[in-house]
Amino acid sequence: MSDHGHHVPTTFLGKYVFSKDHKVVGMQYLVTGLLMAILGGYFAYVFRMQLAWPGINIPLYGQLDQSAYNGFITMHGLTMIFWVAMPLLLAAFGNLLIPMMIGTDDMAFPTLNMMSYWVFFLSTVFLIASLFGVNAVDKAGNVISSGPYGGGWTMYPPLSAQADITGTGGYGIIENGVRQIPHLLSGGNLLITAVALEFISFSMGGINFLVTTINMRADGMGIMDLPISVWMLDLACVDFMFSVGPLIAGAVMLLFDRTLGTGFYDPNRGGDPVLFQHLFWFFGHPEVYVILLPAIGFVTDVMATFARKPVFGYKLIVYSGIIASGLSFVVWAHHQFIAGIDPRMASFFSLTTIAISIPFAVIVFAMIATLYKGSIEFTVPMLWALGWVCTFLVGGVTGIYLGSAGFDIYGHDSYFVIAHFHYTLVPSTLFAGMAAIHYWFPKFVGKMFNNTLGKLHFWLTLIFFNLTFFPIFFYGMAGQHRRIFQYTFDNHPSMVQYQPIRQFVTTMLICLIASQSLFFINIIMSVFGGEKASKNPWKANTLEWVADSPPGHGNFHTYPKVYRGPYEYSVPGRDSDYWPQNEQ
Amino acid sequence: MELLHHNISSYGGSLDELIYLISAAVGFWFSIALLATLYFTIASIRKDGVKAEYIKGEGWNQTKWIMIPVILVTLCDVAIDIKTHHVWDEIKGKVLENSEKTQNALEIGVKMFQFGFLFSYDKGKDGKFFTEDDKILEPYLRIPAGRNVVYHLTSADVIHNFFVRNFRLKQDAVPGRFIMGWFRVEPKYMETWRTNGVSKLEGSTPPSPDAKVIEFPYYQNQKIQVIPFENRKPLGAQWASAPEESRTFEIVCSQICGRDHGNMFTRLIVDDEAGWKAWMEKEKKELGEE
Repeated sequence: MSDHGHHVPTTFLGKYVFSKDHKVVGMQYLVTGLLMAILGGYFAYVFRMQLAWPGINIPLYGQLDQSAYNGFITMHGLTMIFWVAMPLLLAAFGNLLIPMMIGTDDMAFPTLNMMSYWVFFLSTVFLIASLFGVNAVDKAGNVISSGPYGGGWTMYPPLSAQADITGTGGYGIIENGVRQIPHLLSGGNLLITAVALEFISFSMGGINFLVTTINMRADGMGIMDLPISVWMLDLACVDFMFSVGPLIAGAVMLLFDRTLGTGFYDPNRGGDPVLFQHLFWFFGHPEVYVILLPAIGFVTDVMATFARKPVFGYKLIVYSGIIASGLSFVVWAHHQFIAGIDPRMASFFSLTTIAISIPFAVIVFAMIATLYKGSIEFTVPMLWALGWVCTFLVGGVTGIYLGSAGFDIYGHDSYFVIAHFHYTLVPSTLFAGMAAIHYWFPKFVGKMFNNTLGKLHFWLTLIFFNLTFFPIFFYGMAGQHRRIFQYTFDNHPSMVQYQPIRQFVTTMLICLIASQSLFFINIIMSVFGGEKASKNPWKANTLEWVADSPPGHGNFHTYPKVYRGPYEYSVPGRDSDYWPQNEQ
Repeated sequence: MELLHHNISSYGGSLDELIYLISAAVGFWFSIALLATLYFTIASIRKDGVKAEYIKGEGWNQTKWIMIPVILVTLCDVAIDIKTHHVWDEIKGKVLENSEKTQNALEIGVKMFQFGFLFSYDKGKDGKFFTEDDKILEPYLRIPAGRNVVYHLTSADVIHNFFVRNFRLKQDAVPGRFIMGWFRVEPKYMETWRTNGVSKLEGSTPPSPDAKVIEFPYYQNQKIQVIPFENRKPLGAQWASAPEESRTFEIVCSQICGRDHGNMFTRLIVDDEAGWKAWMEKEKKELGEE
């Protein structure tokens, strides 16, 4: 147990704003992540409307020209990955769950933990500010053009290193024969700063998660008695922290190119644009596993509880998770197969990328085997967990196409890629995220969700999600390239035939977004008027269910001692079908 | 609606075969996994008095049920790796001198810039593309079928991508370097190319009885004629004498390069050997030194 010596906070600011309590920090991340999801969803709505009905006046926005379109797709990607997926899955649930699942009172470094949220909050401010970044001023100092950066969330230089009047990469501003650097307060500069702050925040959090798990486990809890969620959260931290350094370096160099006029990525001055790509994707690939692994953890825990069965192959899952985390560091250049890298290097990365499917096959098969001969109750969290399995399978298998360097020659930068990553990221963030929220809401809020609303929300999301994203594989395979503001007869005649599908997809997206309102209604209804939750409404084994709902300061009245692993469900010879870790 | 657009290159067919192989393997495992999930779930719905089985998944007797499928998945992966290697080598392997790819090759320089293309058909005396002495420059690509073409791709400013859908070819254009690649159009694939004149170079498409008019009321009141794919006629053995629009394909930029990335496209026109020579003679007369 930690020996902090800190006082119990008494003021509103101390209890709910600048709180060092991991539960408050976790909730702060959760709420911020959910609010940013509304922003990210809004961006998607706007640009999909433009794609479906090119040139219209979009309700709740107006006309979207190609420059703004580029800005919106860029901001959609960045917001969803860094300000929704990571805060929800890693930061919120890592903070909420880790100390409780290991039976301790808080994180190892509570002050650092509090700082991590406020640095993250600052990064959110910079992100939103970048939407209004200054791109060009006239000689009198009046702003002639403002808006977000629009060169894709991947921000490849030289496009991202040059100044232009639109902010989204125009012709470049040249004065007296010299290419100008962007305005200091340009969308791109504010964005890079936002991302850098976010990385600092998550590094602080990552240290906390790892040190807490290693040092502060309850008496009797060995490393193989940890719930899979904790294992996966920690592996995600390791992946994040080992990979983020190169990108921070790359981003700083990009910021120098943009503000100081250096030439790290400028071939005219001995720089190399492809260097940025390596630095970006060396982080970018482990990053997607940073999002995926916690999702796997939550889904596994939910499935074990509602199938009343041990997790099938606990050790297999843990070892496969470790192998996959390690392999994730040697696959990054599958994003660069046709970028101009040596073709022999591309062959290597194709082999490793297809090989990484093997540990994930073990994990997914083990999760499915957990269902075999279970006793399944279709609670809302269980529905979301099963939904994750079915939808993630599509994303996972379509990754094989893109991992093959041969196919990637054709599939790179096409809508097939978009469909693939939406079938991996959205299941992980939305389906697994909802499974986690519905499962642990009773513990951390002390209320039960409305069951009917929860089930309706699930089914509508499952149906509309698939109807939105599955058709995209079709025109992706047909070769429709991405980041294009419209496909009309003037510019892309061979893509015009897919316009009806484009319109269908946009319509389904609107239905998907509308369905999410059920969730927000449910939260408000349940927080204020929901049925009170007992300590262990799901009759689960892990230690967080020992505490009160919601847990008080310090989490446990008596700190638990651990006698067994977390998945002793339906043990033969016992009356009860569950056996909590802390009961003798 | 077309799924895979018509391939006209010598190597596109191999890439398509790779797609079929991956689809078969992936389709099989996806179906098995999904069916297992649904079956296990439905068969295990909670019933009064029926407990779950305490299966921990330890020991070979239990883990074999996932390890054997994983071994089979690995074998599928190996097959995909082998086919990938062939396709990758064929399309992207180093373009070496005196190889199958460079025999009698026509060399073309491709320069991409914000927001267009420039093709150089003659290196000129200095043997380098896009120097002062390059005279045969056009904004579109025009090549003879049946002949190897080696391209030297570069960019003038930011990263672009050279994408020819009907070749299945994509290559990033990086400023500061020339990236070499190759392709060859097969005349027999030109015979089976079905055109509706949708890809046009200039002028308007003459109305056709099979054409369906789609209205885009929101975009500058454009009316578009699209002939459904099923109704289009193949060019046939006399493809080389078909009008230019019927032998025209799309080339687009496939890496976000700025504001007008969405409007960055050009055309590929395929001639037969004789027709191309005639065109090149005309170009040399008009643009080059005599």
